[in-house]
Amino acid sequence: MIKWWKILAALIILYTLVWGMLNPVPKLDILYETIRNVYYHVPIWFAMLFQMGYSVVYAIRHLYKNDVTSDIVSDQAAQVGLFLSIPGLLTGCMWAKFTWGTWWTFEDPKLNGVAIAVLIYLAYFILRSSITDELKRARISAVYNIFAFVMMFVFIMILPRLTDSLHPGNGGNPAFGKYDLDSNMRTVFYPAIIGWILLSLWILDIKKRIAILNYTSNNE
Amino acid sequence: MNKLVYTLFLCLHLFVSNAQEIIDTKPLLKDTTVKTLEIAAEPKMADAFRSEGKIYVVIAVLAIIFICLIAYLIYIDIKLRKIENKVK
Amino acid sequence: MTTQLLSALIKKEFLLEFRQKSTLAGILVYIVATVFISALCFKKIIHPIVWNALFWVIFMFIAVNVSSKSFTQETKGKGLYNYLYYHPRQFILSKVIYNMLLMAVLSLLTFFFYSWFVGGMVQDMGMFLLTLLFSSSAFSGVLSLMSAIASKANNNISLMAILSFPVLMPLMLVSIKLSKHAIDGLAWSVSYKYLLILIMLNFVVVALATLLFNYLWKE
Repeated sequence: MIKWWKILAALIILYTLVWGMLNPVPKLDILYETIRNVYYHVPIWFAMLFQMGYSVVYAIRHLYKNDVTSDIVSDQAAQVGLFLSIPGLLTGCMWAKFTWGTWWTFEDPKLNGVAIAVLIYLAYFILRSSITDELKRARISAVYNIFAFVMMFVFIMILPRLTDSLHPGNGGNPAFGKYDLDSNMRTVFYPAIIGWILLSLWILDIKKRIAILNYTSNNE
Repeated sequence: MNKLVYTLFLCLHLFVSNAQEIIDTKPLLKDTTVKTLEIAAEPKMADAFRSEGKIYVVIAVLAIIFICLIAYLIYIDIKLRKIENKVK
Repeated sequence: MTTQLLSALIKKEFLLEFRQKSTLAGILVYIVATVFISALCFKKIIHPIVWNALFWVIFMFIAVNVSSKSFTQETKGKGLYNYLYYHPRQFILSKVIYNMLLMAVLSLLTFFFYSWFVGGMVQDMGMFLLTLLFSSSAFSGVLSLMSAIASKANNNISLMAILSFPVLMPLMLVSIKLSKHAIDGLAWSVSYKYLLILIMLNFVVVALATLLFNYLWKE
């Protein structure tokens, strides 16, 4: 049988798709209706961060337990995280083009943070592919994963608070946070985050099962 | 297959003739003072909804997310197929 | 006892370095040549942002070059010897501290040559030197661990760059911001925030490196 939380994920996302389009939103200049992207673009980033955090947790678990499964989960979670960055980046570019007037800007610490996250995880996969011995690969990539995640965390969490950002809520841009993410929007935004995290867990579950199957079939 | 095409064609024909009937009755009704019917004849589309407020951006965003998810699904499917073949 | 061992290890690093004068001389030539090339290209840099960016790019490449060899010299037999005699924490700390000292000296040298050839721009010298000191120590903390990782994986130099550049980025940005403030001569009340972050990053990096090196060590 399919797990209950997978159904829940689908239902929550369905709810956010429907009610996200229908519910009233604050009327703001420049943003107009695109403020609804908050329900679709932002949760993907939350899911990505969640997956990367999940990957790090399993990397730490691998260092303690030295088991193969943790390493597989860590690897697959990083893959799912990297995948989620693709729709996140594309939708972000789309939204930026029609509100800030540019596809990409280097001024914004959030965009830079994302670019660095993608680079870090690409480096992680290059590292993985360059080591052939399984246990060695697992341990070394776990070490890199933890170190890189902490640096990325510093970048994403701390630096944006010190510099200006085009993103609402930080710097000289008080769009949500102040009055904007009102109770009406919260009824969609928070479920959307939960829904996308659950969906990413679903993807991870499938990928993990495939990877474990692959591993056992290789070692028979 | 032929039957399906035939029934589809029939349905289309019926639909078109129905629509014509509605249009045909319109000038007759115009003389009467029932204005509500005239408004009903002009279908209430959400024209304003789509022309303003950059709602297209939201639709594009949704489309991108959907395309990415489907592409990823295909990728996973292909990978699973390979492993299945190997296990066999 | 542990500090004695640590200082012995650091001393050993220095001895090895000075015995093989060619590597140190190689780095010096690298610094002078890079700065000279940039001087030839730019003649004299007037724009502070360009000056700053070029300086930090040169700094980063020198840091990567210096640190990348800190674990490649460890051969298999030497590794076993170290494994028997030292604790991993001492070992990585000795590498980090040695790299810190080396990088501090080399960054000062780079700064000296760079301001000589390309033109000095820094108004707040104290701030700039502090930035240089702390960022070189943080860089060496990151790069020591990265070099340990790269030495465990087989292909070294390119992997080292691939692994360390994205990880160095937060450090780079803070350092660039700080040195820009120093160049413009802004008040310390503006930039102390960034300096605090840089110092905090130092602690985070060194703590993480010592923690994680345990797991790279055993094989």
